[in-house]
Amino acid sequence: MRRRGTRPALRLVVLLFIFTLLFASVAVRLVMLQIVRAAPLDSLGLQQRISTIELPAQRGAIFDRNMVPLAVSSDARALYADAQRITDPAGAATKISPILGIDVKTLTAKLSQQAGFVYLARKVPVDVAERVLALRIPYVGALDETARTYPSNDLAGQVLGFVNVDNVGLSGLESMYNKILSGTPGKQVIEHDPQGRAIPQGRNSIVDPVNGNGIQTTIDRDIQFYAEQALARGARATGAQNGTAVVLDAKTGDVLAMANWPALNPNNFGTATPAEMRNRIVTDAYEPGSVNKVITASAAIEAGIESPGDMMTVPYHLHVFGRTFNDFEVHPTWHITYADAIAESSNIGTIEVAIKVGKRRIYDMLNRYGYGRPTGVGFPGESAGVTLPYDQWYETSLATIPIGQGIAVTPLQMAMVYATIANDGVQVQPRLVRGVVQPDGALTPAPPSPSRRVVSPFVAAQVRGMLVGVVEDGTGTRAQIPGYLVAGKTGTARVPNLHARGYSTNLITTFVGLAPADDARLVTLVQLYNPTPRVAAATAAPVFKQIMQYSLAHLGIAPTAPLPGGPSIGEMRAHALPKPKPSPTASPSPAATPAVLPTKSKTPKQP
Amino acid sequence: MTPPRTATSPRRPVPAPERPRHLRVVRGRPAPGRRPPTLFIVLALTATGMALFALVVAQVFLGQAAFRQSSLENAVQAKRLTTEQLELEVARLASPDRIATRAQQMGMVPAPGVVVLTPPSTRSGPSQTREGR
Repeated sequence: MRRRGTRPALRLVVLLFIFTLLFASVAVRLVMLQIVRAAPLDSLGLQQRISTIELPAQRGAIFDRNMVPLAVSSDARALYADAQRITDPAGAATKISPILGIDVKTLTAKLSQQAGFVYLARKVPVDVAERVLALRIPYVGALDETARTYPSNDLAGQVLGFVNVDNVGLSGLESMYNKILSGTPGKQVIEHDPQGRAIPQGRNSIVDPVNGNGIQTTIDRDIQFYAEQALARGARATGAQNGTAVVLDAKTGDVLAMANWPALNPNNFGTATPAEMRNRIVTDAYEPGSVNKVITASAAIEAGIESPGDMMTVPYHLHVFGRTFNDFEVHPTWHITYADAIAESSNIGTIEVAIKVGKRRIYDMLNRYGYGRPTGVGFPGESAGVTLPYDQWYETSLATIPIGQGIAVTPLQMAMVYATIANDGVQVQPRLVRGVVQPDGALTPAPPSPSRRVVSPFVAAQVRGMLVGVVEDGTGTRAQIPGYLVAGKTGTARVPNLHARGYSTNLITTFVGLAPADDARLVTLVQLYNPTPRVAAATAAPVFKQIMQYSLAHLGIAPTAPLPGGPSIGEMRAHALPKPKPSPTASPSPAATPAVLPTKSKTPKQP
Repeated sequence: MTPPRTATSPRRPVPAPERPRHLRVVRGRPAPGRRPPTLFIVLALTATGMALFALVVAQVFLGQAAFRQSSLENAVQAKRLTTEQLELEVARLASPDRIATRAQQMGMVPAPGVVVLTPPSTRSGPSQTREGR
């Protein structure tokens, strides 16, 4: 007798149906997992067990012109903690605090955060980090990174600039050459288990980082240091609020020193004010004052309107363009040469010549010397200065601009004017970098700086001769250097009032000069803000002398000493030039340029 | 066909027809010409063992080389780090500011400016030389 529901055929069919259903659902699930959602699930799995660690590239070093390191990178560690998992933050902080030199309270606060990842300290020296890791505090670890160090502290701080915590250049050369210096970071891809341990046979690939290239600057560390020291001494002695100094090689355009006072220590830039971070030599334009008188002199000599030996009458006052101008010091009316007027820094003498020369020629000469546009040094934040377009000149501009008011230049622009005069009328673009240093130490030199002729060698020699007179027996006698013939110019300029028309009571003194004047190579500019006494001759000129004297000796530049049997320096100075009148259109040939420098006429000042 | 059973003639077993046998029991020594399997097994085991041993030895050597490489890489890294630190230290020690401060602490004073000496021009003509000197 057969019981109900026990028919084998039916049971088999039902079983077959159930199994088919089961296998079908498994198959559908497999298709869903392996085909439809394969890609996202695969990437999810990879994310869980594959980690990519960035391997930092070491930032290239910055060297001075003699390959002395000014900024270097070294290995460091970033210490971190998984704060959420740390059960005893206070205890961990107490152990770590003395090693890192961070107070317990700060560390406890970090370790008590409800965050999975907290930096305890960045840029920690490797040995210090090792000591922390040796404590074996759970969930405290270290990551590789590099630290930027400036071994000479505040030497050329504003020029070098600084980097942020991620080694990105923020200012100065660090910012200017960030791409070259930073290199390319590498990466390590590693497969790990859920506990974070590397799987021995798992995926592990490394792409090595490419370290950044270094740069060789044109800065001479010793000259830079001496310039900074001399500037600081001069500024402190005169009570100046700030100061700058720049030393240029007139023939190559190399910037040998750029000193700013107060100085900046890039190792600790966080404590500096924004004003202290600026390299004011290129970022700040100012009204230069009497150092600008060489522009009018160049235009006048080139046009044949005035020569250094031409006599002129110079009163104390001059009423032109509805305004009264006067010289710095009260004096009776002088009958002196133009060279004497420059030597005495006479505003009236310069205005008289400027009126003869005319606006157009002076404006053209300003343009040719590079006013109103960046020098090409490429420094971040470089100012182009302020030069009014010709059609916007005021009537009084013809009187104010020749004496350096109503126009603004950077100290570097002004130094470039004197470098042009030093270099026989050829202006060489200034530069701060001599070449790129590959990681293997090979140097790829930068191309020479481009140059262009601004004035003829004759005009340059004539102006140079007038500037020798300034130092020999004019306003710049405190810039004399024993054994060397020095040419230079003083300048004392009032500072425009920022909040109203006119000028404030503040002033800026400048001395800019070149040496040796008979074969000029170095140009130095010194600028002081609000010094006492309020004249460049007593404030900036002595600082110039110190820096120039040291630089000449340091670079081994031979003195202008007479050879045995040859003319003495005094004889060379006394060898006054006749007064050639060059054609305004054709400059004299180099052969016509006097071998001996022109000097100031000895005509005494007459009341 | 089987004859019908009767009472008088008891049933006798009838031998089954001879069928060809595929398997048979072999007694005594194996047939000459066939190698005993023990030797083969021993040889196979020995070869396998030796291969395994060689593999282990190779793995050990490889492991040793990897450890040595890792150790050398660590040593290189440590030396590089030391070099970096020493270079940094040299740069710090050679900084003009530190040297100047140290010199002042030692009682040194800045040198006076360079003095330029001009040799007196006592002779106008070319210097005379003596032969044989």
